[in-house]
Amino acid sequence: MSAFDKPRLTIGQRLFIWVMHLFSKVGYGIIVPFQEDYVRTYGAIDYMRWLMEGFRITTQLEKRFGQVEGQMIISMAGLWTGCRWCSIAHMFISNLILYHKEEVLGPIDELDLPSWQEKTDAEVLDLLDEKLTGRWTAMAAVSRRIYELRTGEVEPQDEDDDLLMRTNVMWELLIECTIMAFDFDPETIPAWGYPGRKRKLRARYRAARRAANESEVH
Amino acid sequence: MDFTQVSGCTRQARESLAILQRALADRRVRTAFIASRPRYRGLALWIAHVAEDPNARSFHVRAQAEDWLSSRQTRTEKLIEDLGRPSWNRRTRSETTPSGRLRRMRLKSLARKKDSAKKDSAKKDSET
Repeated sequence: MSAFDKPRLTIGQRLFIWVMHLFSKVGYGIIVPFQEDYVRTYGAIDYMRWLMEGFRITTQLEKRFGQVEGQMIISMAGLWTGCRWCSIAHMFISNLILYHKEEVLGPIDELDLPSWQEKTDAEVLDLLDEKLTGRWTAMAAVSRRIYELRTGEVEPQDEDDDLLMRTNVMWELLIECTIMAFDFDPETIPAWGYPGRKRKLRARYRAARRAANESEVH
Repeated sequence: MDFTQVSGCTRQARESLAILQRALADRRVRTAFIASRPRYRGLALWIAHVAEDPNARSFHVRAQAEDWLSSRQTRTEKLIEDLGRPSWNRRTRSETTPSGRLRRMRLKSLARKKDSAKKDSAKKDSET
């Protein structure tokens, strides 16, 4: 949008962005397209600060709820904020971790999330209840809790609520820039995490998901 | 701005809204968007971000929006304040991160050094 042209970055900022691109390429096999926007919005130091805080909260979530569930919770924080990138990237990695460990498909297809975001909050809550059954029942309660904490229907009551609330706030802060993925093709959004690098695993997972979706239709 | 009845928004309409929002940002007018669908809360954040308006934020319900309109903080300031709320920060860094553990170890060794220094001075005092 030419009306909102941005000032040029300094050499230091450009160097920082180059290092961040290198880091994400080496660590995760992808280049996150929002680094420049983050640096412009928060500055390099604060951006690093929020990134580290995000990692810290992710670690706490994975420690408390499990690796698959922790990523699912972050995806839900992204889902409610309306971020296509975060909701898909974190649900995708959650599904990949599960598929890598158990060869089982997760309850929510990450590619369904953009259509969920078009629905009303009440409809999304119903969908979550419908999908999160059996071994995922606890997650249904957690996902409803995330929503209630966001809307202010309930105040944090215990340490789990504190963690969920911090997740909501942290990802709202990070979504400030990932919101620019508003029109991204969902299939191009990568899994943000370690097994996301495994091309064969990704292909096997996508094939299994397609087969499951087709058998659901027939 | 009430987006609760919105069920679609073209790219052109979105960009026009961002230009309008930029004008509000220049006048430092506070804006609250309400949307009952996640996609349109995202749209509101997109508009606020593109228009570089720190005083605009999206919400689920009217009560949250009214609180926002009566406050003075920017979107980022409010989120940072919320993130630092002591009751949400009960777990210390040392529980999870390697750097936290390192920090805790350093603090422990400092405490130990202080203790031994105190003991030494007490010993010297008793000797004299």
